[in-house]
Amino acid sequence: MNMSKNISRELLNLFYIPVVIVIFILVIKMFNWLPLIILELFLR
Amino acid sequence: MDIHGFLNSYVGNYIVQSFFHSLTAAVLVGALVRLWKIENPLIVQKFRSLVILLPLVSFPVYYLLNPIRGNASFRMSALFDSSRWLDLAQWGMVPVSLVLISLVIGALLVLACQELIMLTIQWVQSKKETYPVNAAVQSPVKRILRELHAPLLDDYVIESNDQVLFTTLTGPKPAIVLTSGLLRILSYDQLKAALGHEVAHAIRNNSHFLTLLMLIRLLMFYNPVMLFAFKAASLDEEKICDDIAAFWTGKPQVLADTLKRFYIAEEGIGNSTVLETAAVSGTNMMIKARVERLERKASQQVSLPWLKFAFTMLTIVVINYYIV
Repeated sequence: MNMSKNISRELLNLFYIPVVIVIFILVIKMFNWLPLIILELFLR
Repeated sequence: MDIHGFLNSYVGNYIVQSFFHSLTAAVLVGALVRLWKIENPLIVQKFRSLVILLPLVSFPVYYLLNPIRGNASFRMSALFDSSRWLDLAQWGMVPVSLVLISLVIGALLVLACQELIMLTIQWVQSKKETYPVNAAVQSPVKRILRELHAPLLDDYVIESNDQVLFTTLTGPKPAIVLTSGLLRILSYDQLKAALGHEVAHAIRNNSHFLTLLMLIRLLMFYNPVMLFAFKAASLDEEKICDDIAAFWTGKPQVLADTLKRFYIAEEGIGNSTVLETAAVSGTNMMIKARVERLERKASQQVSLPWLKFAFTMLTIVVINYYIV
């Protein structure tokens, strides 16, 4: 019983991956657009 | 060749992309190892090796898979296009490419100071100086090595008041070198714990895994992420050997107390250079991290480690494909 509980908790832990990926992609996207924003706001 | 032309060449692209690929890998590995609460250093080191190994081959492999990966339309739809930053001609008064070159030169300087100069000085000193070996005080060391089932290791006790202990692998067989000053301050149990750690180093170094990581790091000298990743992998190696020593002796607290003896007093270094001060506080931080986890009896259990490793690797490989 305890063991199956542990295994299901561990499987649940694996779902951290999609959460981390989504947050990470959003951060990368932000850094991708940042130079264009800088260009637009400050360097025109 | 101008800087813009260089950064758009194959070599320039390799340098830029391998830097960003290692940065992505470092952030992802750091986040997932923390979220999954993986504390077993043997497994953490495997995760960490992804940060060093993957960026070495990622750019050429992606290039082979898709030779038009670098073109404008791919860059437009990519997750991150490094050329947007690099082509940003002026940021205030400072061109971004100049910042990039300064970073590379900075990384080179740190490498030169940390590794090459120190290694050269040590090598020159080792050629000049000979240390008196005290055969009379070797008996406890030999006895402990027998207890640890490592009688084949050489051991040298140097007559000196300094507290030094290390393993050398350059001779015909691995040898443990320690000073009589260290022998005077350590109890029998503490000496056993310290020697256990060194024996673990001697045994584990057969794999030469860290040497491979270090070679890659030297090859990618321009990449500051590699410096930190390699330092972290070396700290993992120390933690692995701590765990082996604690397992052999059955007394992790004794090993923690022994490690505390190796703290370097920071008060006396007021007049030293910035580099020396940084080196001392860096060493102390590493010892502190090791003591803390030994005293906390950090959990070694990691469930589904290979599945987590495979997921992490796949995530890094896929995300990095879209980072150009």
